[in-house]
Amino acid sequence: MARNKSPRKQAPTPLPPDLKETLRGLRWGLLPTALPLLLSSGLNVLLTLLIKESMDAALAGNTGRLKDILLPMLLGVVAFLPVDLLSAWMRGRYIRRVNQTLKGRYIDRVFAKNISEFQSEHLALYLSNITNDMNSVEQRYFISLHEILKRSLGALAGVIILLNVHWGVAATALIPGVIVAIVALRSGRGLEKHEGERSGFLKDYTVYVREVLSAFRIIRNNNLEKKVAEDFDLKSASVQQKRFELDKAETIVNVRNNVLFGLMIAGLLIAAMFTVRAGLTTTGGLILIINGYGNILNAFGMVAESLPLIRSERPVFLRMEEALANRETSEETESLQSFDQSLAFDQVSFAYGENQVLRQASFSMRRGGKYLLVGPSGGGKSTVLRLIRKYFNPDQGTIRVDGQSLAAITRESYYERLANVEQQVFLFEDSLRNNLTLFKPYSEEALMEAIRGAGLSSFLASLPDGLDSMILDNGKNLSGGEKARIAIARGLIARADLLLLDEAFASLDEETARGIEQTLLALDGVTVISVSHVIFADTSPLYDAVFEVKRGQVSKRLLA
Amino acid sequence: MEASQDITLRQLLWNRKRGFVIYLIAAFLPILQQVIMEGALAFSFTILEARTRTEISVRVAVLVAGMVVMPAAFHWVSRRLRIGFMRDILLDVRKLGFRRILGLPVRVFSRKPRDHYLSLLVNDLNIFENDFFLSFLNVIFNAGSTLVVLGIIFYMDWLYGLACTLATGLLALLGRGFQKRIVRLKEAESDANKTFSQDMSNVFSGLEILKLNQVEAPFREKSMGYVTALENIKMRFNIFDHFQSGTMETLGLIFTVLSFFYVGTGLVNGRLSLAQSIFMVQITQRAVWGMVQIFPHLNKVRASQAIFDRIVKGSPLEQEAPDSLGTLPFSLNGELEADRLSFSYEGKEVLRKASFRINKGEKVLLKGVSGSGKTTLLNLLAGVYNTYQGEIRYDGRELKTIDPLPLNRSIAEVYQDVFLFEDTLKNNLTLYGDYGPEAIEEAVDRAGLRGLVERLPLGLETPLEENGKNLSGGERQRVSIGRAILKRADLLLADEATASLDEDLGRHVEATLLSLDATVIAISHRYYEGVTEGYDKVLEIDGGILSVWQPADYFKESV
Repeated sequence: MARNKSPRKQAPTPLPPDLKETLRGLRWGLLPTALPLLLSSGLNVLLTLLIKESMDAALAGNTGRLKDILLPMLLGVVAFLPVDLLSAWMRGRYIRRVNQTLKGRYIDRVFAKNISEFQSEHLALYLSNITNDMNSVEQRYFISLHEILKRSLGALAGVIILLNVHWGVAATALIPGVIVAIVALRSGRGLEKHEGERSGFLKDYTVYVREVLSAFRIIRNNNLEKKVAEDFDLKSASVQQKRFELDKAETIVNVRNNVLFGLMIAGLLIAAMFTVRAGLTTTGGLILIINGYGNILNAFGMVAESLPLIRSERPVFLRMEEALANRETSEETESLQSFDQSLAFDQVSFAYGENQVLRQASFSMRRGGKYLLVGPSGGGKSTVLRLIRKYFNPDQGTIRVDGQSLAAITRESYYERLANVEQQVFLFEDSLRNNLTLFKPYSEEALMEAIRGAGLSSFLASLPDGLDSMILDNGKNLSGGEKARIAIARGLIARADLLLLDEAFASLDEETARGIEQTLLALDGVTVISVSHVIFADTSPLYDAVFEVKRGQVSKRLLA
Repeated sequence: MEASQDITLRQLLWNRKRGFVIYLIAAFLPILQQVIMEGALAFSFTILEARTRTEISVRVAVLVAGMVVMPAAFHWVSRRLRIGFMRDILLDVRKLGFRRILGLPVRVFSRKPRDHYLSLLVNDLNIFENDFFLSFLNVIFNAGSTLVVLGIIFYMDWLYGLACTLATGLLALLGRGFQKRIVRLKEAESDANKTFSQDMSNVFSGLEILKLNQVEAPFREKSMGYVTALENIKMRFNIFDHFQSGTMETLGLIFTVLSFFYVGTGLVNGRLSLAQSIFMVQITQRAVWGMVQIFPHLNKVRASQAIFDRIVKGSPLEQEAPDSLGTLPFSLNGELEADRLSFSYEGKEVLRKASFRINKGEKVLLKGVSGSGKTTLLNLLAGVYNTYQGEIRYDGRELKTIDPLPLNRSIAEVYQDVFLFEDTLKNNLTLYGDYGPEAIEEAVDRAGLRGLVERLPLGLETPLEENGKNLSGGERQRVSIGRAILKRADLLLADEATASLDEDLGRHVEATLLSLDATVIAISHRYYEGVTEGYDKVLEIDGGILSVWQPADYFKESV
């Protein structure tokens, strides 16, 4: 009768090759840490042999020999301290390298993400990856590996100790250990699922907390504290309950392992005592057997305990990889040839989700021209800007720069010619100078000219430390208008071919706005595209065109 | 959950008395288990001297029971009894921390960046979760074992017992010496973690800009700098930790060797049997090792305690004595009056003896150059700060004496930055308040949101993405206005409400604001001909001085 084969377990999702490579490299980094571990194992062997000698001496009534052994033993013991310190130092270096490599890789990959794909995920997800998940990986994967190495070298010491009894004894020590390890390995699989779920709950929790903290003022202002606290309690409970389930599952695994382990030890101990009864070794030799087996089984036990932990990190790695993946692999092969003539939209259609934002829109802008983009809120102005910035490629139609299709142009070569002034100004904790230059090497004159053009001169004059004044914590101590002018200065200083402004005037008073507009209109050879609600009747004729983005179409507004 | 946040970790554990007692019992089981194991082991050594089969079988049975069966059972029982309590306590900590932060006054909260609090509730909690219970258990196990074992030794040989006690006492003193440094290093690690988290959050927030400007490189370097700083602190902690444990272990080993020789000579003299000598050596090791291992774990417990305090009590800056809250009701049926109001913010004098009076229902325009203190004045009127001089009176009641709850209910705010929850458009409008469908529809129309509602696939029930990513700047602003309209507040404070709206919509919204029954104070630099003249007064702040204008005069001047 044919046996029913149990259904094959689904093969686990493989890790991407470059991550495998990185992990492999990091695992090799364990080798240097082995040196001090070898030393301490050596000391272990030495001391164990001395203990055997002293025990036999004691049983033989040889007090003289006992006294002779005392000093070397004490010296051996003292030698442990420097070796242990060395070991700690090397372990620390290993962990540091792991974190630097993995976190560095993560940061690089996040930077390599397409802007639109980056924005399609919660910010808190990336943050959770690089804090929570990296922490988990460090503790449960890399530190476990180090522990395994440590115990394995201890096992090696154990084998050497056993060889001092009889080679046969050493040979048999591996068998029970291997059995214990195999059984424990198979039983560890169930933890993976729990760990992955836990990571998911933790992410939800982090996202929620971040949201609440951002909305603090609104919550306070609308007496929403109770509701928010209730939601928080639910999310926390999920996280904690998951941890509980993980612990429960781990307990069963550990107990099972311990029983096997215990049986092995008991069996070996009894066998060892029979070898002494049979006269194969001295009573002191018992110590060698106990210690030697102890080390070996300890190692197998540690491996059995750690392997499930290590395996349970796989879903964490996979989740991080997914967050970093770029789904859209566009065919960007050409670099931007020139931007001397025009930027044109040719029958461009684009839908943002359900919303058909542009419907076969066509218009053209000339190099060096000044353009206003107006239209109802939500009507598509920002989308046009995003298309020009190459966050997306059009669904249909083409955007052309000097006749070259923008979709085929590499982002790097394109962005070199672009300067942007954004709505939400990004500021970082550094000097005003660095916030303006973004660490690029511009001359002092260029910097001062941009400051003047952006209307920042009086602000700068009011600062005691001038350009070296520190901007703290995303510019909390600056008003909306000051931030906007910094963003504009950034845009001006780049002297790019194309300057894109996204509601740059929204936070400025009329006088300042007019001043900056004047500067922009006077920029020679620079194409300026400004999305703005702020239109001055007297200056709008000075633009080459005012484009209205409305109902999927982009049309030139006729001016009175 | 008590409102008082002055709860210590000890009190928290004791709050769940039953669970805690069970936990302690469960923590003592391993001690019992250990002693039984060692007894069984020592006894089994007498197999070497056993003569009959029965004697051998008995010893084998004892060995299996004491080293396999009992430990497994004890381990399972102990762990299962412990993890439920652990889960409950950790949940308590999360809730306490969150509620404390949520309850901070706005001005205290805004002193620290949002990510500081995020780090407390995420990173620090992770550390606490990983460290506290494990080290607590180890402390109980080691302290308990040491005491139990010393008792047994004293019983067997009181002179030797005295020596052991002295040795363990010495180790105890040494262990205490290391304590402070370890706790400090662990806190430094927590701070570095926080800084890293903050930095990454900022970098991710600005990623779009960084990529557009192609300045990824210096920011990558900056971020890696923070990674390295964090790792270096972790290293320092680990190395010092090992130094401490290494020193203690070495001393422990020395005592063990000495005891070994003492017992050895006892064996030679025939004073002790083989089983007795083995047992004595083993349990001496246990006493010594117990003492050696207790201190790293004790330090970890102390460090976890410090983290707990940080989460649940907060740093000194956050622990400002709570303002005596006002208790008077709020009303604005007569007037809002500022009387010689003076205020300085972070060293800069923002208002100097400002005085003005606003009658109920009036529409007031607030003007002044960028950074002149307009937003600060609105914050003052909303009750964010309490360190001002002079008085702010609502219907004659000074602001500091008014109960904040009705105050909050009666004021609506419309700001430039709109925060939207990841919830339905409807809930973002109602902010979970109870409003009838007619009121909601009316607010939708008056705020100019009808177009958005029709555009969205599920209308009002459409869920919004993280911070309303799927809405344009103008649409978000209109939601904010919709919120304010729906709230039917007595006082509406608007800060550049129409800044990101185009001419037509801005005009419509300003007209709406001017048509409300509420008293409105609006900051705006926009001028809509035919509408903006509708304000009742204009307040202008210039160099800390506030002056009151009639709109006709004011606009004549500036044109």
